[in-house]
Order: sequence, then C-alpha cells, then structure tokens
Amino acid sequence: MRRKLAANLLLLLMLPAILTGCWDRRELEELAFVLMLGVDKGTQDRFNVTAAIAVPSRMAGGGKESGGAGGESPYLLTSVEGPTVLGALSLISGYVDRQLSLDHTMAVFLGEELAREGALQAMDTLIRFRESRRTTILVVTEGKAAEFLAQIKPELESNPQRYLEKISANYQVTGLLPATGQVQNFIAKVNTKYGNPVTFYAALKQEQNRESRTDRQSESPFSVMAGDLPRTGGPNIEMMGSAAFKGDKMVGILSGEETRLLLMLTNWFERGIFSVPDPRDPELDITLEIRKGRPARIQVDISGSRPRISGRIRLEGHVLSMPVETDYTEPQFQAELESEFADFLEGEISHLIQKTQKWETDIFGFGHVAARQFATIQDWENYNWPKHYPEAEVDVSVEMTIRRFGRQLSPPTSFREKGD
Amino acid sequence: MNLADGHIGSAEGVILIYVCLAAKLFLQYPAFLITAGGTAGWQVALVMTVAALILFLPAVALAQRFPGQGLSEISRQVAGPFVGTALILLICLWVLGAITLTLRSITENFIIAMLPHTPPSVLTAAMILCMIYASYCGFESMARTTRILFPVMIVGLLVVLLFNLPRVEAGRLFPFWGNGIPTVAVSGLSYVGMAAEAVVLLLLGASFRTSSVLRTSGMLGILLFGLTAIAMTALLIGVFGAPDAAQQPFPVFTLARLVYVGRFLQRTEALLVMFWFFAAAVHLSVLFHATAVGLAGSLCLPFYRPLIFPLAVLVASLVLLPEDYMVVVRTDRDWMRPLGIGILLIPFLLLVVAAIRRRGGTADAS
Repeated sequence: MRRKLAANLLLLLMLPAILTGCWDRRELEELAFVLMLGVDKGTQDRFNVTAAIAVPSRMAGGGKESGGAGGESPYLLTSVEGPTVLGALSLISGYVDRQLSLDHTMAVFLGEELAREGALQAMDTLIRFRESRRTTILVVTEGKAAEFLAQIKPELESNPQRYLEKISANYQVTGLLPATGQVQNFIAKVNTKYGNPVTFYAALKQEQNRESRTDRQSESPFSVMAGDLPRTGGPNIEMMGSAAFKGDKMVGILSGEETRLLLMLTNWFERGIFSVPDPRDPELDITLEIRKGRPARIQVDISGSRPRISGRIRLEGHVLSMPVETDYTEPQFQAELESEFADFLEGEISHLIQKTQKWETDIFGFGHVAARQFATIQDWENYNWPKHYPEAEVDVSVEMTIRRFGRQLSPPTSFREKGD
Repeated sequence: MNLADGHIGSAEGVILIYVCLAAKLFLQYPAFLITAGGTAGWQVALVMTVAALILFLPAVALAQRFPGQGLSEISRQVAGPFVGTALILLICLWVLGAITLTLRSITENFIIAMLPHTPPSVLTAAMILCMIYASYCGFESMARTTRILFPVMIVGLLVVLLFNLPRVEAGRLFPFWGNGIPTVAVSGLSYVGMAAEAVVLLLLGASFRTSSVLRTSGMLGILLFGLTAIAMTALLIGVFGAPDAAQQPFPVFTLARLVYVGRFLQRTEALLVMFWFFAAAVHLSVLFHATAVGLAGSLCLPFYRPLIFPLAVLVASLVLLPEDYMVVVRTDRDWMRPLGIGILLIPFLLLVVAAIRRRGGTADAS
C-alpha cells in the first residue's frame, strides 16, 4: 500500500516536468500585441507594413485623456518595409523590445493600390500563421493604410479595437457596411468559383466636400461611400460601403446604398433607414425603416445560351417620418407609396447588378444557386460561371409592405390643410 | 494483470470505440474525405460508414462463434499456430503503424497550431506516458474514465459545431455529386480503413461481458462515428467551401477559432484543445493496449504488462522516423488507410476458415 502511494506521489511530482509550457511560455509583459495591421505597397520592398501595437498603460482607465484625440495614443504606430508581412514585422524587433504577437489583431487594413494589384500575397500570412485569426476584419482603405491607421482616434471609446468591433457590426442596424468582411469570408470566396468577396471600405474624412465618386446621381442620401460623407466634426475616419473584388483583386467600390442592396440579395440585410421622395411631391421626403420580410429567393436558369437570374425580395416598412401633404395611411395612397418604393429599389438593384457585370464579378454569389443545377464539379467548372455571369439576364422584383406608421395615424393637420 | 481481466458493458464499449474512432476527425481525415469527394465529401463519409458496418459484420459473427475469446486465441484455433500467429502479428503491425502516424500527426498539429517551440520528442513522450499508464491500469479503467468524461467532450464539440452554423452556406454543398458518383463510391470504399481501428475490439474480445456487448459496441460505435464524420464533413464544406476545407490539416481546430459571438464567446479553441488531447489519449491508449494484449495472446503469454515498456520504446522510435509532416500525411492516406481494408478482411477470412474447418460454436456461451 505504502509503495503504491509512494509511486503515485512520485508520478504526481513528475507531472510538472512533462508540462510543455516551458518552451512556449510567453509572459504578458514580454509581449507587444498588434491591435491593427496595415499593409501597403512598399517603395523599397514589396510591402510596407504598419503595426499598431497596444500600449497597455495608456489603454487602461479609458476616457478621452487616455485614448482620445487630445490624449496620448493608446498604441504605438510604426511602419517597416519587407518582402512579406511577417518578414517586415520581424524587423520591428530591431527597435521594439517586446516580442510582437498577432493573437489579438482585430483588423487588417489594405491600401487600395495593393488591393487592386492583388491581396492574396499579403493575406497568406493571415490564413497560414498560427497567431492570426480568420475572424479578423479586412478593410480596404482609400489611399495608404498607414495614413489611415494614424488617424484612428475614436472619440467615444478609449480602445480602438472596441471602436472597430462596434463600427463593423453596424451593418446590422444600418445595412451600409458588408456583413461578410472577415478574412474567413474573403478566403472562402476566393477559393471557390461560386462568387467573389467584398470587404469593408474606409477612407479619411475630407477637409472639403469633394465631388461624389458614385457613377450615378441617386435620389438616396446613402449613395455615398467612405470619404464622401457630407459632415463636419467627429473622428477623422469613415467606414461606409464596400470594396468589391474579382478573385483577390479589388475591382470597384460600392456605396452605402449599394451595399444595402447587396445585403438584401444575399439575405444578410436586417434593417436600415431609407429616405424616399414623396411620390406626389418629390420635393418632400418620407423616412422609412425597412426590414427583411422573407428571405430573398434567387433562381438561375442556365438552359439558354445566356443564364437568366431572377430574384424576389420581400421587405417590410415602418414609417418613421412623413412630413407630407398626402395621407399615405389611406389604403390607395399606401399602395402607391409601397409600389413607388419597390420600383425605386428595383431600379437601384438592376443598376448595381449591371455594374458588377461590367466588373465581371459575381459578388452576390448567384453562382451558389447556379451550381445546384450541375451534377458534378467537372460539369460546373466546364460551364465556367465567371465567364457567363457578365452576360446574364437579370430580373429582380421587390415587394414592399408598410406595416406601421409610427405614433401618428395620419400626417399632422397643418400639412393636410396645406394640401387642401 | 492477465489478458481477460476487467469487463465492460455496452455503454462503455460504444463510447470507447466511438471516441477512439472519432478522435481522428480532429486531424487531417476530414480533409482526405473532402479532397476525394469535393462538395460531396460527406457522401464519401457515408459510403465509408456503410462499407465499414458491412465489413465489421464478419468480426461480429466471429466473436459470436468464439464467445469470451480474444482474436489471438481465435486465430490460433482457426488457422493454426503459425498462420494464426502471423495474422495477429500482421494486425498488431498495422495497429502499431496507425499509432505511430496518429501520434506524429497529433504532435505536428500541436507544434503547428499551439506549441511551436516545444520539441516534438517532449510532446511524444508526454503522450506515450499517458499510453503506458492507461495500458497499465487496464481496459476497464480506460473505458470507465472515457464514459465519465464523454458528456463534457460532446458538449465541447457541439459548442464548436453549433456556433458555426450561421457561417454555413448551403450552396457550397453543390454540385451535389461532387467529383462524380464513381469517384465518391471508390473513395468511400478506399477510406473504409478509417474505421479499421474497430478491429481492436476483437483483439480485446475477452474483456467484453458477452459477444452481444461486443457486437453492440462495434456496430453502434462505427455508426456514431460515421454520422459524426458525415455531419462534420458537411459542416466544414458549408463553412469553408470544399477547396479551402481540403487544404486544412486540422479543419475542426480552425472551426473552433471561428467561433465569435461578440465579446461573450470567442477563442473556444482553448476549450477544444483539452477535449482533443483527451480524445487523442483515449485513441492512442486503446490501440496501444490492444496491441500489447494481441501480441501477448499471439505469443501465448499469460500477461500483457511485460510488453508495455518494449512496445512504448518501439513507438517512441518509430514516431520520429518520418522526416516531415507531409510524409506522415501521404503515408497515412496512401498506405495505412488502404491497408486498413485488408485488416478489416482478416476476421472475414478467419470466419470462412472456421466455417470450413468447423471450429467454434454458433451459440453465445454466456
């Protein structure tokens, strides 16, 4: 009995020796956590990599003093050039005492120039290296990513990571940002032939309002993209719209409004506020909160020489503001408003799809639906969906039902009297 | 402790064989299935499961013909002392090879994903110590420990699978027949070897209370393993797409790293690693113990414990032989798994010979 007890005790004492933490032990105070990573095209080498390294003492406590525009930056920002992302980062050890860690990297920013030339070379690190996570968000920045990173100074949050986490999740309430902007979504799309990826698009606030870069003068105030927001004050950065890719190469930018339409067609749209002109008096605007009614139904017919894509989107609306003369709570006028809004969206969707056909990129993933009609992968690959998508005929219908009119049963009397 | 010490019931048997087989799904095996079938990788798993269940039937019939006996004794009785011993040595050699490759895969995966600076020999030694200790304690201890920890392991796995459901795009599972029906069928049959470890049940046949317990353990264990493989493969294709999932050496770990429910639930891989390590320990310990018992039986030794240390030294030497991880993957895919079909056919061969030579009874002695 005693011998057995002694043997068990000996075994217990030996256990710590086989714990493998000894070689991979990493003390917190020896690590420098990279919160955000920026990758641009280099001038002397292939990549210019910018790392935003957390300074824990400045992040603690919160408030503007610690991390706001007026206080010290909660992170150390440094750029270095190298042939690969990790190669460049390892050079940082020449002047930063702590060991860099990508365990907590929340976002990777790609300069637009690099993104247009191809993002995969920079991205390979993010999918192969053990520390990086596929839940990292991917953002394409207008101009240099390094300049953008230098301007991330959130006003309401002391932690820039939390700021990015919250702003990127805003698609759920506005629909103005893509829902699939993580590295995982990007890699899964690039690796398959069903569709192409989209990522977040961001830009610095412009000092003076510049001309809108959208290719079409839309009636919607949300037809703007990051860098073009008509505003004063607030942080120096903007995230709105999305960057569209063909394979790993960026081919275009979608405005906030177009991003919403993308979400509707891909079933990621949850809700968002829309302003539409009053059908009877285009000078006035009606504000609606639109929600997804039923999942969008997409069908692809490949029997003809050109594929035919048809879709049906069903939405529900709540009137938030209706400072107009017509009483749209009356059934005949309500139907008119619903029809007008549906027509407006159909036109916008049609235009967006044509735009992506010109870019030769199926960012909606219509290929997923088309693939169902093929028995084998070989048949599907022989059909060559990327070649057929640009010539596809598209017909998307929108059905809209206004469910509620807010806390008023009809427009204010003064408006109606004005109409009389 | 002699060869027949310790007895287990159906529940322990099913859980043990299920954990032993399903532990491999944490490794590169889902990638093998997806590479073979493409978008129909889950169908490869389906064919593999059905074929494995059919191939295991002769083993069940053999156990019922020779109740209360291990494969070593059965083999000697049926095929004679020379051929019978040679067949058992063949099975033990294959199981030893499977242990070696799995142990090396686990070591490499730990190094690639979590412990990059730890020497492989240390990780290997830690696992071998577990195997030695488990085998020393015996089959019953292994089975009961596994049963106690099983609910926790299942919950851990379900957390990973369920929280990734929102990432699934059903469209990624099409074209429905993937690389084509013939390829799916042939691949499914060629990967039957993924369930070949079930043959250890026969090596440990004497430890089951009755032959019907062995039958339930084997058939239900393989069925549950197959269903898990089908579900996991389909989920991996739905989340990553077939081309991406096929490129990952341990896709379930990547899946665990994708769990992200706001700030509340993320980095679940730390949880998964614990269960992964435990499942791997069960897998290796059962195979190791079965090899020791099988060898002892074929060498007519009354005890298996004297073989534990020499076998452990052998495993420790073999596991460091492959030059790199890709050699391990290729050897496993191109040699070990196809050879596994042969291993599953040995009980069938013995059953036919036993029927011809009229050895054994058909009634369950218990």
